[in-house]
Amino acid sequence: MKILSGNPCGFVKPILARVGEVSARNGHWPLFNTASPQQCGYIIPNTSSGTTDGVPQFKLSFHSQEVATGDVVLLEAGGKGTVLYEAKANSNTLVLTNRCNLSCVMCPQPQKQNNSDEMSLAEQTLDLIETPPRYIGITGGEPTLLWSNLIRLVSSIREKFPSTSIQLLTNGLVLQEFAKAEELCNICGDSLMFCVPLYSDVDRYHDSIVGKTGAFWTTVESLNNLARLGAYVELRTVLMQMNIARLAKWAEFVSRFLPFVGHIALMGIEPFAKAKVRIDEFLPSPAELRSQLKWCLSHFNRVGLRAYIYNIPLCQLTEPLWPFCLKSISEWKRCFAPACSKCSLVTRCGGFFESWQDVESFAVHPVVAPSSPVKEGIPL
Amino acid sequence: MKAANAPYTLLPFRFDRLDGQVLLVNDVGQYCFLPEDTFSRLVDGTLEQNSEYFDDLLSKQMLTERGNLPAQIDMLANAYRTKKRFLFEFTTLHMVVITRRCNHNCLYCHASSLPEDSGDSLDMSSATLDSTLDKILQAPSESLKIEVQGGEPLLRFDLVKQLVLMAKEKNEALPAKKILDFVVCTNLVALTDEMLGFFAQHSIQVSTSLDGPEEIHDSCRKLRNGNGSYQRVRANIAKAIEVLPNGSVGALLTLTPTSLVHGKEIIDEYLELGLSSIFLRPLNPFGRATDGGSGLYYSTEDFVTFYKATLEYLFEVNRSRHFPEIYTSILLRRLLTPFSTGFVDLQSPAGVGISGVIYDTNGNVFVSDEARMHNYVTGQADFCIGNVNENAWLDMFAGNRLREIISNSCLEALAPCAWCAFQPFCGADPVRNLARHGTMTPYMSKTDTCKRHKAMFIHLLRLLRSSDDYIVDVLWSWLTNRTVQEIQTPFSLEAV
Repeated sequence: MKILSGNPCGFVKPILARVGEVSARNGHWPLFNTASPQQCGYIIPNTSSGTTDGVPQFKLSFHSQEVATGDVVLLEAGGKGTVLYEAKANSNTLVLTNRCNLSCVMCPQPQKQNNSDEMSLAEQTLDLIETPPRYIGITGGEPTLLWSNLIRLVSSIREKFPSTSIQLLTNGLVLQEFAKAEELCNICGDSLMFCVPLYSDVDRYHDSIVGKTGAFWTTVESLNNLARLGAYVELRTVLMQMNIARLAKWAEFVSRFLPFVGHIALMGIEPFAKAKVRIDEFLPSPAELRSQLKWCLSHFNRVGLRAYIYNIPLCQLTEPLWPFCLKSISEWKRCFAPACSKCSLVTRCGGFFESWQDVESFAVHPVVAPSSPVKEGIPL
Repeated sequence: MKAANAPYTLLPFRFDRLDGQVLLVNDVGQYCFLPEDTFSRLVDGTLEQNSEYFDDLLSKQMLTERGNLPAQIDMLANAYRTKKRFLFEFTTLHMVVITRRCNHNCLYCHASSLPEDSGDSLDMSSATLDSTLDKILQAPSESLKIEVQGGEPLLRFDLVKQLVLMAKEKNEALPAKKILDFVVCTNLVALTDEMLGFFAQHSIQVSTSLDGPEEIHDSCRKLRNGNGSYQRVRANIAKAIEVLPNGSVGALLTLTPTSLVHGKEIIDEYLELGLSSIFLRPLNPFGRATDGGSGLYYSTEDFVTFYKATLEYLFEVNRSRHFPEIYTSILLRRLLTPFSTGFVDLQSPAGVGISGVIYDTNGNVFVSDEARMHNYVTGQADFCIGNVNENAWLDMFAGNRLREIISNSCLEALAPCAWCAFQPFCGADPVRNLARHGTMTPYMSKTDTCKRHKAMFIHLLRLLRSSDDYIVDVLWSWLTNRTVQEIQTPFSLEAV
């Protein structure tokens, strides 16, 4: 999530609040919570001076990220702020738990040993959102682990924003139990999308990536439950050295045995946390990545299944693959290399995860003039 | 099957030899090719578990290791149910013969039609039409296609109108209304503006017959006065295409020995007329077209040679225009997708009676058009399941006769289909078998149907393995009914 840094003043307990309309007079952002209609504090841009009225305030430091009207922020007395909900972003996620029943080798959010109450934070965040968002994601950890919390959160979203699409990122293990899959579908009807990763067409590769024997077949059974319920499924994979060799065959497997999936997300790895430590081991060879993606996407195109590439800069791929690329990396964690300033595709490109800055594996190749116009991608 | 001490178990598949390799196909139609020595090791239980072949076989569900069997069987069961989905729909195609009279006198007439002036005793009576529609609407399917047949139905346009209007009216009165589609199968010679207006008003599809350019068409398709019908038919196809919504007009082709050497000219004729597809359909050995002495016979080999050559030409045509060959699309759907194909002549069990059915002018119900023809020619009622005026729906469609016919059409239980690698893609037609071979269950590999389909499957498998991406793209474009450009262009990157 987008992180703010600043100089807090006048509060000790964390403030969880919605950002109001910026003041034209002094550029201050008033903060509101659900307790009273009065503002409970301000965020002050680093160019303005603070107030002296004793109301809690958080003066953004020079390097801090910005906020915008409608955002929901958590400000801590230590000077750290977190944007829990970004009103302008295409999609926001509510984190339900840090716990997980898998331990993927490349997990960018490994389980933390803390007692923080994500559920209560998620519910309070939801309370503070004003305008109905197009999408809300629910993620973890594995959000299905705390079943009653998940049901409660999904029901609240459905009640407050009847037309918002909910995207549930889940490994599906829990949904092997048909009744659970059914319960979720009954609450949400068509507006719930299940985003489920399946990393290979052969169980042993998937199982070794997620660190659990038998996980592949459990996930396949869950997917079949979702199919029986007519649920919308986004099938995901992460493009890694461990599964890249079978990507085209994975595509065939999906089209033959899981033809009900709504669309497919082919994701570049995020070099964060566990993935960062072993990134050189995990990163697929560029040549194999390109040729497998070509076969995989041409198969999905032929079959008529929609598939998209996420998180990979255009210069890492060949031109025929560009139209499949989404600008998928959130603005606040996206970056470009110095060489990118020379590239004519820079406005079309999704860029790099900021975390790549510490990694030397990528060679950036600016594209000076594209040989043909490329369709503009709209991020999910 | 498991060799002693093998670390894996084979799941069921059938196999055959093709081009120096072994072709393996399982019940859900997943297939792969293995070199001979790899296949031997697979069967011996010594295939290397770290080999790509091993992973491929796991992916296609031809192998199992460890404790995954229950989950694999569940997934295969889903796939099997998907493949056999046509059985869930029950009878969706209902053909109604409103007259046996025809203004044509085609040399190959399948339907043994009779002269125009034969009198209206050869037409369906209003009362029979009424009971026919009652029976049709009792079918359990949610959507029904009612196809008006003949003879030439436009000779009794009053009955066509009555059928459409009455069917709609009866449907409106049903507690659970069905989706009704109407098709009129006509040679179009008697077409008038009034008829076209009616077709447009009621979204009726037109299925006509065009055998190709004038010389080819007129060599077989003759009017009662002995003249060819080409000029009239062509003019009226053009008119119908102009007046009716896109895709409402289709033409069926009957291939004669003359056509087999003029594939290109036939395609060009179809393209010029603005037709949207072609179906390279071999002549049915029924009615006047039975092989003996008709002069219309050609061998399966001749048909297959023609089919292959014409496909080559169609691949070129498709560079500039989407123009699918329907027979190929149907076979490809079986080879390449998990989905079912309702193609009455080629499914297991056969579609006779349970996918399509035909009602004759006198109310007799036959399991297929060929069944009706067989009756006209032989007088035998083997394939008549009842009469709309005399029998209840259940007696006909859940009766012993239909059950017996169907049970004789399951490839899974026919020799040598039961162990044929192509079985999951194929089908049998008991009517054709009885008419041609005197039994509903001949030794199938001796039949021309088997020879033809096997040759076509093999040809398509070879094309699919070809290194020419364009050919594979065209085949997929036919199968999914999208243009090659659409196949090659990514979907628009819309937010999902």
